[in-house]
Amino acid sequence: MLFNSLVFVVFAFLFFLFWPFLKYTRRPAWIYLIVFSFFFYGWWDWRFLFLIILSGLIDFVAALLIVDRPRYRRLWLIVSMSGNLGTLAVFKYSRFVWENLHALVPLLPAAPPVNDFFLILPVGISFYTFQSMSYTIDVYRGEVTPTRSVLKFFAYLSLFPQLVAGPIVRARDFLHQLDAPRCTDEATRYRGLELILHGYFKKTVIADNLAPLVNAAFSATNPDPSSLYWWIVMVAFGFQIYCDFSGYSDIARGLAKWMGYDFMVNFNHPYTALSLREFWTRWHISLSSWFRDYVYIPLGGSKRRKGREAANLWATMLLSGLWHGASWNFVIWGGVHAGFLSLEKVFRYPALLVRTRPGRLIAFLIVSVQVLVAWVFFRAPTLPQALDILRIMFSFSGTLPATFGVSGLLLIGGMAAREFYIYLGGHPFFRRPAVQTAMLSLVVWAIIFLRGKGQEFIYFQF
Amino acid sequence: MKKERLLHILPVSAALVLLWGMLVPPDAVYLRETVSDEFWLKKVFDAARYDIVVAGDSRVYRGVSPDDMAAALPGRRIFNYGFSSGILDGMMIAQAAKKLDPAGARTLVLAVTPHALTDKPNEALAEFLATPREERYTVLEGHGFLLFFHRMAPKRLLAMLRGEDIWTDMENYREHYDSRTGWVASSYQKEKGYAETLRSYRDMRKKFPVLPERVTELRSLVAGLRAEGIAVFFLYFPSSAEMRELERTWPGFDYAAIRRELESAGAVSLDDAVPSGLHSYDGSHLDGPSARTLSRSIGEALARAAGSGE
Repeated sequence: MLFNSLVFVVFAFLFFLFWPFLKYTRRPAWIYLIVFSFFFYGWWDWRFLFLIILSGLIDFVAALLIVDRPRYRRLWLIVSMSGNLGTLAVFKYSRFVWENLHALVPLLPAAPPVNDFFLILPVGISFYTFQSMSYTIDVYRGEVTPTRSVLKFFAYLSLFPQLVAGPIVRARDFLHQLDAPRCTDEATRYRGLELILHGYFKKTVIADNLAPLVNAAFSATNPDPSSLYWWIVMVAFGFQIYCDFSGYSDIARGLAKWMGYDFMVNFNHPYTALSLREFWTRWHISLSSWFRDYVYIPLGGSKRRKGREAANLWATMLLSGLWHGASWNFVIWGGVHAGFLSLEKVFRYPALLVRTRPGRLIAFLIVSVQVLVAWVFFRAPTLPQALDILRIMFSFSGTLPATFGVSGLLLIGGMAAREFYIYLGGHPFFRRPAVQTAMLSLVVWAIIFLRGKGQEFIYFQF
Repeated sequence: MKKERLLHILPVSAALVLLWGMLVPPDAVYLRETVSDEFWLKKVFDAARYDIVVAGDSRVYRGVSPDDMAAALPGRRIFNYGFSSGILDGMMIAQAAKKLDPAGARTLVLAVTPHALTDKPNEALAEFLATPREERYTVLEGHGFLLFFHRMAPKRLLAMLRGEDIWTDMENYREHYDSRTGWVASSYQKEKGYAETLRSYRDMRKKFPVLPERVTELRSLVAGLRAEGIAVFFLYFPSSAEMRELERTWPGFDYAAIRRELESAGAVSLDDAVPSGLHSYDGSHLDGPSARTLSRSIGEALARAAGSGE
């Protein structure tokens, strides 16, 4: 079920109709959450509910065994990891691996010898699998006490606002909230509403209206030969994916607030970053911190010698790329980021640049160019097309096509101005109640009447 | 107790939305899209069943008027099952056959073109079939709701603020969508020659040859339909002379051989029913009056065939 669909509005209305009466009751509340969350997911394809149940049960039992049978705790962890990674391997990566094997060994058949069912990519599989994995790892490390209630565990794992596109909520941050949701006072309700409306605005007004511009550029048989055009298209895509994904996270956080829970901030104005390292502390924070805590640091992080540190960084970024999708383009996207991060580590130029105002502007431009270059690999359907586009971008030639409209530029400019405005702290005028009411009402109007043609959230495919 | 700000936002938003919905009508682009969405989803999902269904690509949905066909076939229910870039594959034939009333005359007319026999997937039909049920429901049942809560692209809003006319359709295309019959009567307000269409078809000809496997599949599908008692007719769907010349050299397209294949599977050719003097507005598709002329002629040919017991 999509947040930007009428059916979700009805679904959310029904959920919040009874939730205030149940939220403090624990078991009934957990059952209520599970029923609604399973319905939310099953609306897409009910068959894959069994996958969530199966992989969840493996982790639930493994976590209990880690505590109850500590002698074999490593084995239970391996069982849990195998269940999660095996699910990902079969449903997300089998076709990719097979296609590459087929390219190497042409005697193999073109498609993997499995039922078509196993070639459907379950929506949000990477999100809930990583969430579930963090639970058993944290139990193994002794950082989380496993719950003995299967209802509580599934209420955590399947919680609908974040089930299919994050933020990846960790057990250590959330399980205790299920025992005692906060009272939703006026301020919380208002903040929740703000988040939800801003999330919908980002998704339906900005991302969905930029989508046709970006899609047209990437679906053309021959890429347009203008550098300026492609730079604008990539800025448009940068804002499209940001508004699409952070919009989803905002809606999820707002819904959680209305439920009496708190999800972590997943995006913190990433395009204002002055170094790529800072960018990764602001972009998809729940995933980057997941990779930091469960991959980068266990590999040794930055505590080892330089060569090993670089290898850890590269491994983490390449895996992060692969997490996004089973395609070499995503791996290269991770590799490009790793390359730029390595350059930052070696030359330490961001620290030098941020000391002066012009230096900060240069640092901002460097990060922007790096991120846009990397986005080309993320968005282009094929590697040759990505390379072709990069060649055009850096040829600095050609003029804008005559059909290029100004509304896309206005959307980008408006969104960029909004980002920097919020980042800089806003103006007291905009904090007056009457102005806030007028602004949010205008946001509601824009969501309804300026919405783009409904598109799925980009991160659903991951 | 702190004032509930939600209670302030709700009435202001509601007033704003209601006023806009009532005072600002949907712009021409949105109106066209809404009508077109409803047309396509009705074409795919409407439960009505027919005696005769004509299946094929865009030449069919723009070039066959069921009402004009019915002039020579009184009492027969006829439906146009043409889709953009339609391919005569198993999916198209199965979906078209589903539209036939089991208790009716059960006649399928297939429009053959080189493009419809290539390796391309049946993208438009597949996309409509995969429409999520809530979208389907909203489009088919909530026409008034969609018109009230109309979407306006920011560039259209800018144009409106500049005082430009966004309520009249400025498109060169003149299209009339008839959901009841599945026909889109089409023409250009100002015709611009065939060069653009022929160029895109030359590109396609280069990339997508006619697949012998597709022809074999079509032959066996026709044989299957005949075995079920469904009468199958076919014709090489007319377009402009320039297009016909272009298609003559389409790799793998040997219409005489295809015709023999289909006839050997039990289908009957309607090629003799194609009248001369038909006009295409873009080089590929027939304009409204020509579509009606052709449809009447096909209807008469089917009536003759029914009379002779074919």
